[in-house]
Amino acid sequence: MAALTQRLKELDDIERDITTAMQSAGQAILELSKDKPSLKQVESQTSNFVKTLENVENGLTKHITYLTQVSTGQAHEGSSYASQKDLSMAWHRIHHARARLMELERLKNKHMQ
Amino acid sequence: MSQQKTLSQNKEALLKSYNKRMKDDIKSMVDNFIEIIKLARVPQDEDSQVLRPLQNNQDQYEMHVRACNVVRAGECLMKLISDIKQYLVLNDFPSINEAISQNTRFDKNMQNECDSRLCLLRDDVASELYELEEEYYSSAYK
Amino acid sequence: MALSVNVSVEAAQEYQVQEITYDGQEIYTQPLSMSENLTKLAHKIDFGKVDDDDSQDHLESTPNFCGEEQKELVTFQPSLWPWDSVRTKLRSALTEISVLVDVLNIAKEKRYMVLDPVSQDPPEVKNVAILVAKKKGLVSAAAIIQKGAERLRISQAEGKNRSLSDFHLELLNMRQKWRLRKQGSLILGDLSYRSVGSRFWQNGTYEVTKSEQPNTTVTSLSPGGPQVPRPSALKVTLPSELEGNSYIHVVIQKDTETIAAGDFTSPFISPIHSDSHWMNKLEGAQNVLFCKELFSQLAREAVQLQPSIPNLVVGNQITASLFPGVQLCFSLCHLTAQDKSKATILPAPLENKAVLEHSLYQLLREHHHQNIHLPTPHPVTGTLGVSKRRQIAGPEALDRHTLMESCKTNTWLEQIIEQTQHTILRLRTMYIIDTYASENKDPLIVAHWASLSSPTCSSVKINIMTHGYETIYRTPLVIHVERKTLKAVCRDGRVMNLSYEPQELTYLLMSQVSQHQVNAVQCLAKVMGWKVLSSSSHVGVGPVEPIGNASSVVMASSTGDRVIAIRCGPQTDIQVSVSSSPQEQDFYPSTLVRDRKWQNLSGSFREVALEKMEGKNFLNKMENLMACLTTC
Repeated sequence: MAALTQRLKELDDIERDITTAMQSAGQAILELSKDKPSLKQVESQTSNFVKTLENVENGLTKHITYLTQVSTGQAHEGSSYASQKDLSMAWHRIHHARARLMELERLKNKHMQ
Repeated sequence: MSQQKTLSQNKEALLKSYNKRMKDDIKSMVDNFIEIIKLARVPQDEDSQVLRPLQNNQDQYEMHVRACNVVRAGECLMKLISDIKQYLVLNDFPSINEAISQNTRFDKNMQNECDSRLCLLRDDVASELYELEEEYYSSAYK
Repeated sequence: MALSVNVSVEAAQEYQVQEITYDGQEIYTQPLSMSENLTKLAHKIDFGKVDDDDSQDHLESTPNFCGEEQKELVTFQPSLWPWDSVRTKLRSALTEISVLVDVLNIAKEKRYMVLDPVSQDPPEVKNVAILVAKKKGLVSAAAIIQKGAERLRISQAEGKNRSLSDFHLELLNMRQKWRLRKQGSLILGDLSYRSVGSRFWQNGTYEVTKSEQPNTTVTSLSPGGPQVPRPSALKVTLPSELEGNSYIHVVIQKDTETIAAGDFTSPFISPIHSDSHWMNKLEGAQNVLFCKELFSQLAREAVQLQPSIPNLVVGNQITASLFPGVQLCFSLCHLTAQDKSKATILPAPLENKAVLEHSLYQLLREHHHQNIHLPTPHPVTGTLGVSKRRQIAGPEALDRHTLMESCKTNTWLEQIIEQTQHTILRLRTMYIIDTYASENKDPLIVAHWASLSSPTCSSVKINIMTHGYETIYRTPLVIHVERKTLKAVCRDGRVMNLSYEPQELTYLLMSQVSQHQVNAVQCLAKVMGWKVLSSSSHVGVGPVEPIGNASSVVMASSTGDRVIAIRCGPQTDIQVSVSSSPQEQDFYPSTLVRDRKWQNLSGSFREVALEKMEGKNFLNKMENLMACLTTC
């Protein structure tokens, strides 16, 4: 479960990377459109864009290869319902015992007065 | 058997489609960006066939469209990521197995603990009850 | 008249006069050539104003039609689907392009139309203008990209801050506990027990979707109430028959009144609202399915079994009879959100809360478990799924009858009926013993119920003893409460089988008490130094006892001059008589007895009024009696 949340977080990071990439693309073009564009800025932004997109691609490819190794098309046929039900029955037993003991206590209190 | 084959084929096809979508989107983003930059070139002394203002309009429109393409490709990538997330959550076998076994183990432990506590309780209450019964039945006030 | 007049027809002046020279000659403007004409016409078209013209025409045309439907059409148009304007623009663009294609095709053929360059002054190529135009284009492109990026970033940040938790994390949470799968574009889940061995016909498929973002104006349902939990990002759609929650209400009825109800009013069965968390909804639905399967199995068995008093199966209720006059009733109660208003007042929970229902649950779980965990065949090549007994049937050469006997199992209904019968019997036995003990205080009756028992068998150990004389004598009695009978084991090892009638137990207790009294007096006599002359557990003399047999004992003092005779019966009071020797009466010689020496023999017995004697209980009184009769 922890590994899976880790993966989901990585995918969230990739999402953020896409946004960053788009932002740097916009910045690069904006820089170009200024009256005095500084080519250094443009180049740095463009390289950011390309690098981020490469990261995105690598990350996604990694996840997709993991999925090819790990998943099947069919649903899992097992479940933990059996032990869940048994546990709930155990809870009911305890609750019943508790109810009886509280009744005893109530009787005791009634007679103590 | 054939159903299994079609299922695994479907899975392969699905994952391949994810791959393809990703490559296409990234390629589209990069290509469109490059084209926008290319369009920013001011032609030097070229006698074009088309009127200058028209060419300007056309270039502006093309830049506009390419920018929209970049945004669309980005959003497609986001959708792809969401699809991958969903697929991952639903179909990651080892983690499902682990979740089921962990749940079962936890539930069984809890249940055993509950039952053992109930047994201890039963023993305590039995001994108390013996004395209570003794007391009750021996008293003159019933 | 026949003259023909020449009528000459002249065309009107086609060409406009450009200039009149000083000598009166008119110079006409040259007619436009084809291409020039086309150019002029083309210049007249304003491509930017086409749509406005169209819409204006349309608006102008509506008053002409003056039909309310037309007006409605106009007012409805803006509310058509949002892509309508895009569609119209695309359509007009398509029209223009097709016209252009047609013109180009015709011009290519060079038969009807020829494209010639219009001779115009070549415009200046202003690089600066081009640069400015390019920069403007770049600015707009950058603006679009940045707007898109901003949108994405906002939606991502919103996802962290908003009250809805992340869809995927919630889905992961759900998958940890519940079965999910993907079918097409839907996410379906399965909450039935099929994966653990149930074979019920109803499948518990539910659908999971993204829930819409809650309207911010409708959050304050209870402004001062408890803290509203974070609304979930998942929405669960259950099949309608599984909504809500249900339980099985088990009631034991004695004719018309209820003596023990086993309803499952635990806090786990809470009514499920339509806006409660999906976890609660799914658990409720699973419970409904479980109860349904249980009830259907019970109903099927109730109809198949053919007991002497037939079982009643009506709608959601099964009634089975246990003892004459006592019935067991199961009903399947389904609580849905609509029933919340008419809250059914459940009967006040008496004893046996949930024990019977719990046994039912255990039966069903056992069934599921057996369906999955088939016993391993030994050898491993044997048939899978055959029980152990049947596997041994071959090597042990069991005959058909034995085989059938060994494979017979009780149905669930029978098992529950047995358990309930035992419960009732046990309660009844407790009640009888308690009432008898509280009514008769002379010998104390102490009952100790065994702490280890089974659902169909319990036992109680009864000690009958007298207060103050516990160490001298006590009568033990063990009663095993079974399903429909009681088995009593007495002090001397005799085993008596009693039926479920309460009177039999009472008679047994009474007879044991009377025997105890007499036996206790015997032991007391040993302590006091008196000698037991004779004792009998079942005397054959005297009046016939209505219940059981009377017991008696005759004791003599150590010196032999006092004799006490005690007779005790289960329903008769204790009779104590004393005789003394020598006789105290005056001697009158009669024909038979002539001598005074016969006065030394023991005299007749005189009854003792026990109720006037001092003493806490019978043995105490006996002790006092023996003490005062003992002469040194």
